[in-house]
Amino acid sequence: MSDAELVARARKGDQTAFGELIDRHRVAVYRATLAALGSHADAEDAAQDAFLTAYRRLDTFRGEASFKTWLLTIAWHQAINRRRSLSRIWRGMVQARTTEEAEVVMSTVAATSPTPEQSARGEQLRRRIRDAIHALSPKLRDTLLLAQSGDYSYEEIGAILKTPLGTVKWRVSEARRLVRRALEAWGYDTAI
Amino acid sequence: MGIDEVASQMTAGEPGLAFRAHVMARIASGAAPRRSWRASFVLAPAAVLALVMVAIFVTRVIAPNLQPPTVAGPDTGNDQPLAAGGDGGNMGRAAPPPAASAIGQTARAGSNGPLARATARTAHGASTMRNDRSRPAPALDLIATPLLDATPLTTEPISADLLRIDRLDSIPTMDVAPLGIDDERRRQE
Repeated sequence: MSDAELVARARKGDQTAFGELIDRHRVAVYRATLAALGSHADAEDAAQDAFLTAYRRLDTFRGEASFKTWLLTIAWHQAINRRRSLSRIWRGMVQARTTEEAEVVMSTVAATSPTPEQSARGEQLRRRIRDAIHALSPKLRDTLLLAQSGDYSYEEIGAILKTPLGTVKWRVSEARRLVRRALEAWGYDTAI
Repeated sequence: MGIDEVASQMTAGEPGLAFRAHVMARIASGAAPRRSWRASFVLAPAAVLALVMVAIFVTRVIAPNLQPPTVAGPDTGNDQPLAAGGDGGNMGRAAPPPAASAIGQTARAGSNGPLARATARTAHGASTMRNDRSRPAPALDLIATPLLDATPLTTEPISADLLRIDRLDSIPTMDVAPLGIDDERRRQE
């Protein structure tokens, strides 16, 4: 059954049909909100709010874009509003928590590395890349993370960010270039 | 380890297993989406508005009730607030009546000395005080006596005839002659 058919059934009050839409798109919505917020807890809350808002606004969905794109646009707005509402202190806490989560991931990866020296180098490189991505402007960082999540096409990213396709591609390229330049400044080989 | 791989890891993950159940429960309960942005975009202006209202309340209601201490005026019987100017010489003295201050200001209009400036400040303070006293404090409105409803007094113009004074009749002159010595003796006898 297609999304359009599920939407039509959900509009008539079939909550099971909307539950099916949730199952289909929950990962894509969640990763979009995670790209904007950087925190798993906040991302899950924003994703729930996005589905709730979409359910309430089903009547306004005209089918001009795909349901996924429409849903992702709602989710992105929810995430950006939540990100704006975070105070500087709270943002710092989120950054710290994200860093802690990164440490766990890096430790896990490092444990599987062949040698302690290689794992240490790999861990440091990941940290540098993360720092460089965090240092990007929000527009470049959001576009890069959405593009690299693997869940969205460039057209979908353009629809989410309300940005032309060419601008999306330029932002991804520019973000990569700036991260490479930061790595060069730290003495890394940019052929990575 | 490349940039794309790290960026991909930064958005890796899936929502919890109960995600669908949570959303469906919120839909069933009719809960509205949490709007955390209210904290900064709505509550902050509301807090500013509340502060402005408190400031208005303080300046309009509380501040007028905080009158300075008063002393009885010597002639008029009205209470006059103590002069509160920055000039130390005026501290603790009752402000002079407005008319007297105006006269003093007029008399020293030509000079620019400190006495003239002090007199001008006093006249200005008296004027301000007169304006403040003409309007009762809002807190006293409840106990204020009602205004008298009386027709204004009118006077007729005085004609020149009423002011005319008749001339007095002329008195005839009297001749007096000095007394002689013989007349004095005769009176003693």
